[in-house]
Amino acid sequence: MLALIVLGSLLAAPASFGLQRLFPSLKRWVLPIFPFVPFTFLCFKIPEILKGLNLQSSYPWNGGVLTERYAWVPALGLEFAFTLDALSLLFALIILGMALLIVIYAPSYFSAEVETDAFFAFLFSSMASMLGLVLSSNLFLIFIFWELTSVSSYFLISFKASHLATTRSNAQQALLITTGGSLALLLSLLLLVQIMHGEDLSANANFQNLLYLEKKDLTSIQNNELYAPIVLLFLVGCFTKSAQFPFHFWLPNTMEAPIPVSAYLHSATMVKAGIYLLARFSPVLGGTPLWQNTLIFIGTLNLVFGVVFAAQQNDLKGLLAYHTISQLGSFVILAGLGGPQAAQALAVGILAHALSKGSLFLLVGNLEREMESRNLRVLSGLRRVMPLTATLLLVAALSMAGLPGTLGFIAKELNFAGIVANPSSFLRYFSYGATLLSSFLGLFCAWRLGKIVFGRKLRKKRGLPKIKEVGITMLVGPLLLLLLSLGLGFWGILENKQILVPNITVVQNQPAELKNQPAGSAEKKKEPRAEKGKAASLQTLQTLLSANRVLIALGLSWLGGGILLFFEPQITSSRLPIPPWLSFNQLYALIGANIPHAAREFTLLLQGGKLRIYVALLLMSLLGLVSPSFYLFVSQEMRPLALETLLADVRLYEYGIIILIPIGILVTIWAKTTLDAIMGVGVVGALLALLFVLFGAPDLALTQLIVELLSLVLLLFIFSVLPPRFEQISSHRTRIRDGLIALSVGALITGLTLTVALSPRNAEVANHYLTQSLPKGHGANVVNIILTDFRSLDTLGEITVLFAAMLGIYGLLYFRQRP
Amino acid sequence: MSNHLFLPILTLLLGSTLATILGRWRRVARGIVLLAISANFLYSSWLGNLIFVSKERQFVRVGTLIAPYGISFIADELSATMLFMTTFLTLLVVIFSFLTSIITEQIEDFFFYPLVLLILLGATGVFLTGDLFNLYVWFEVLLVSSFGLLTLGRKQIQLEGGLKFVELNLIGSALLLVGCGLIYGLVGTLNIGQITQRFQNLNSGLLTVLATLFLVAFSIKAAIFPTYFWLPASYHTPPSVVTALFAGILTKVGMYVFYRVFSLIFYINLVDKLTILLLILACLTMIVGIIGAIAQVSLRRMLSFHIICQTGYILSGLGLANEAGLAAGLFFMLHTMLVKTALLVIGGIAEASFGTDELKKMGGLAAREPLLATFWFLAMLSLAGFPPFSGFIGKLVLLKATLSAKQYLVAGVMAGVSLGTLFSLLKIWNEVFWKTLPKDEPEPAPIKPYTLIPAAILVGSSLLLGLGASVVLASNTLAAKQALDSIGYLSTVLPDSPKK
Repeated sequence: MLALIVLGSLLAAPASFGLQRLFPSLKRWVLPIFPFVPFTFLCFKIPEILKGLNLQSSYPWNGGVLTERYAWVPALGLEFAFTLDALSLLFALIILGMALLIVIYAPSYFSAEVETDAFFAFLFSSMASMLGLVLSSNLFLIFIFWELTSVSSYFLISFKASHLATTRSNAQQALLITTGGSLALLLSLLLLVQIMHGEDLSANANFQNLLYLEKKDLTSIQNNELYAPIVLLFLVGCFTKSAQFPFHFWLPNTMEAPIPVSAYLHSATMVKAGIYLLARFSPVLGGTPLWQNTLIFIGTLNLVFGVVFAAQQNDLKGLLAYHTISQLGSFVILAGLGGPQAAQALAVGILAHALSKGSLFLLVGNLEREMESRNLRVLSGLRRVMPLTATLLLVAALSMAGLPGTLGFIAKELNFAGIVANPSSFLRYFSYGATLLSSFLGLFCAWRLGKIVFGRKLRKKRGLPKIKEVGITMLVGPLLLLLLSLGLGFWGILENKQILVPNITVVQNQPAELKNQPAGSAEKKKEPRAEKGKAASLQTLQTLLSANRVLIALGLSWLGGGILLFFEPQITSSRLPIPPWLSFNQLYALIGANIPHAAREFTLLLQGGKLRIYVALLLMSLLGLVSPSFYLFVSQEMRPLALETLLADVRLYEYGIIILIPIGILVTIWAKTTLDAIMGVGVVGALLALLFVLFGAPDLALTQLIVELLSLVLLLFIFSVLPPRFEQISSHRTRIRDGLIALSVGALITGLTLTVALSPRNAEVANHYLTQSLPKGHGANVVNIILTDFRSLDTLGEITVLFAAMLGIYGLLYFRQRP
Repeated sequence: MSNHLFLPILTLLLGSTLATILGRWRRVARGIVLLAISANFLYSSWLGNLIFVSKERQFVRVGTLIAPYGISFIADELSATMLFMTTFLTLLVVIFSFLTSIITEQIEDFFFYPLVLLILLGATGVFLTGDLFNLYVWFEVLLVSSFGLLTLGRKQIQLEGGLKFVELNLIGSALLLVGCGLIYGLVGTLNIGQITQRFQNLNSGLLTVLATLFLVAFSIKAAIFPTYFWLPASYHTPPSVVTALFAGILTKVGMYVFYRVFSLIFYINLVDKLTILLLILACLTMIVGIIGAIAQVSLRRMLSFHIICQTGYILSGLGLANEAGLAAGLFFMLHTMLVKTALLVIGGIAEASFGTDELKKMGGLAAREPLLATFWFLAMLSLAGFPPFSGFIGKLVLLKATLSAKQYLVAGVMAGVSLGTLFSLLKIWNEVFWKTLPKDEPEPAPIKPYTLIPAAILVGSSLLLGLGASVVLASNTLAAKQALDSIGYLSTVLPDSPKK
């Protein structure tokens, strides 16, 4: 069934495309069906999942969880394995729910002339890949969907918008950064599988294998020398996807995309993928100082900087985008902390964020459509012209700020609880402070949003249509999201915030701890990991905070936020003194602009276009690669040879030839006219033929002579159309260089030939030819028999070479381009 | 004895001869060419299946001579796989050229198709032969016929490119010939199996010297750093159909001999000393290749550098010097053969439509030809290693083998270069397909839908190779196992020799 859901959503993309083409009028009614059907199905699974969760068991996957497996590439441990548990259910519902609302919203948002066929196809493919990601349990399958989210977001971000060129380059930026991260993730997953299964390449790489690991196996993973690279690569993958510093900059750049895209990206897909993976893997990889410290540090950084940037934005979407980065930072902190409270806070936080950010983006879309502006300094008086949107915006802002009655409140409360419940590190206080600060500024951001509602009425330029309230389809999405947020918020208060508690068991690090305490009672939690040797002052601080620390924190955050409101002009007008080199956008642009240039310079260095340089480089690499091993051989294994043995049976006239050949070569090299050069070459050839004769190979000598004659004629033919004297086209220095290279290569080949000639030989095949030539080949000339009989296939091949050469030469000679 | 191993050679010889003689009647010649390649395609699929199922090597001697005195043909899973893929790609490229008019009738009249058959013949000979010198001969067939194709059309740049191509490749052939001579002088045989056997008994540093010599010779053929210069110097010059054919076949034949010779003859040296060298060369090839690709501003030149980059990946599979590495490298090779041909076929269509392959003069093709754009995008994703295409599986197996051989740095280079591949391909995507057509450029000619058929088949095959990876990987693992099993190879080639 899960596989069917994933497959169905994957097919939804082309199906929606086809349907819109065939029945354009029906799209409002047909399109919502695609997310609606799986959404309802999964909704029916909620009770089962919650009931099946066994809070007492060491791993909650055991009960009430759907699991499906289908073979794909067993040799790689890659299979279609899907699992539904509380964590994936939460994400899946967000993904499908948001998709449903956006599909209802989008047709009214886009003006009629925009062709939205492709948009919905991209939206559904994004939905499908994200859904696949959260439902699959095979590590490589997870990665596959992870990549697909990048690709589908690429198209989604670059969907027709106001500034085509910038949007597309931003989409490309997002794709490149997330792909870079996903390569790191792939390496990390491969290493993880490797230390998990060792040499057994075909063991399946399902997540359950990791989860069912015995405690000692888990420790062995975490003690492995590869653990640190695994975690770091893994985190690079997650941080790029979830837009965490220093890879954050692509997210605000995607602002130019249409509102439905932003709403979906921020609330349900893409950026949530990294958080999902962090939560999913924290039981396996988490709990170590490396994991905790890195995540808390990076999370805190993003938490603070994101919200500071958000507070200063005048563009509504910019504000929301940076606020998302900050929120994601807080999720990263929670994933880093580990433990039941943090896990609970994470689960609720993700839902709260989806509800508030999703509705906010959609509402900004309404503003953009009617008021044609997103500038916070311009927009005002919304309550007079768009009362419904105004009301919803107010509620959404309250939820974002985490005021009581909304789910944001519960999330914030749990967030503080999660942080203070975790005793493990110094960074806790760091993140505590940062969370407080971000709450101040979050309230401040909400205040700025709220101001749009009030104030005087915005006047439009003349000639433009009057601002009016948007239609029902553009309101129903935010309305439902906010109702859910309010409902859950109130219910959470009434039910003592226990409704979403089961989620915690999935992401938590130490399930066994649950046995000791009822879920959700952060205050009573013992601190098992607190080291005994900790300073007493620290313990006093903890006791001080323990009772009402959450309430204190919440109170502080509102107070601080309230104070900040008085400094609004100062905050919004001041700019953080950020040096340009730290602006990653500029850095990216710099790199992006310079890489092709540098690459061109570098490539020209090697691939300059001159054949002579190519030959020189090629021969030098021959020398560089072969001579070291030859030198090693000569110096280590070769017995020193006396010159006498080498020259023992060389006869006098042979000396003559041996001396004449180099002279011929020198004549060729130093020849001033073409005729001299040809003669020099001819001499060398003739002498070679003579050598063949002396060593008893008349056939070869004959062949050599014919070749010499032919090339002589050809050369004369060619040189007849060239000037008679050689031009000096190369400098003295290059000629010396080339000469040296040529000499070295010659020396190397000569050396090799001599070495082989001097080594003992195995003459079995040669003797066979000699003895069998007459009886089997019926010929006394062994060379002929070898060519025509023993190795006739070579001859056939050589004839074919001639055939091919003939065809080629025919073309070269006679081809004339027809006009 | 399996006499059928001669069939593909005979078919191609006969086909090229007939197509030359009957070249005056284009339809007849085309029919002969199509028939010959299709027959070989069927044969190679049959052969591949035969070996895969029986797990037995196929072997035949030429004439009545017993190996090692005569030449023998031997086919194992590795050669059968390569034969299949090469024939398949040639078939598709030939069909592509039938469907389009990139190859003008005039070029066709100058024996275009017979030369294509001869290229395939050369490759087939290299794949099937069990004799080192015979391998050299088939390489010559390949080289000379590809030189003929490269210069067909006789444009100035073709001649310049052809000169560089042939001269640098001839150096490679000369080195190969020197190597053959040295080996014959040393062990007195040219039979690959017997050379392997005698080398195993000959414990000498000279073998390493020979191995490096062959390394350079094959590097030239396979376009490995630092000997790849002929490739970017020539691949952009001939009609795009020729480049598509070369991209799929030429360097891959070089990679095949790399795999064959270094898994048998020089395996001990490889494991002993050369694996680091091979891995370094592989990494440098990847890096230099991708840098070159990023630097380019015309479609075909960029794709040429991608070819170099990809051979680096394939070489690293061999450099790992174990079964998993070889199998992974082979899978990657099959993948890149498919996808590279696909990209060049699609690029060829675009080039024919615009009349140029300079990126800045092209544009707006995504809106005009959505189908072509889709194919390009999918092929691009495949080459950059995105799932569920063959590129992803290729990257995955190669990374997995590399990591389990503890070559972490190599894995890092692979990953980084794959990002660079995406970066450079996105440039083509942006320039050719997405950006609007520059104002003063002429409108591109409309594309006939049926010319997209080969591209569709190629992209579909890449998808199929990804989804059906388990079967292909099984075959590749068998190929790697057989390639490394020198005793099995010997007992097939020299059944009478004493077994070790």
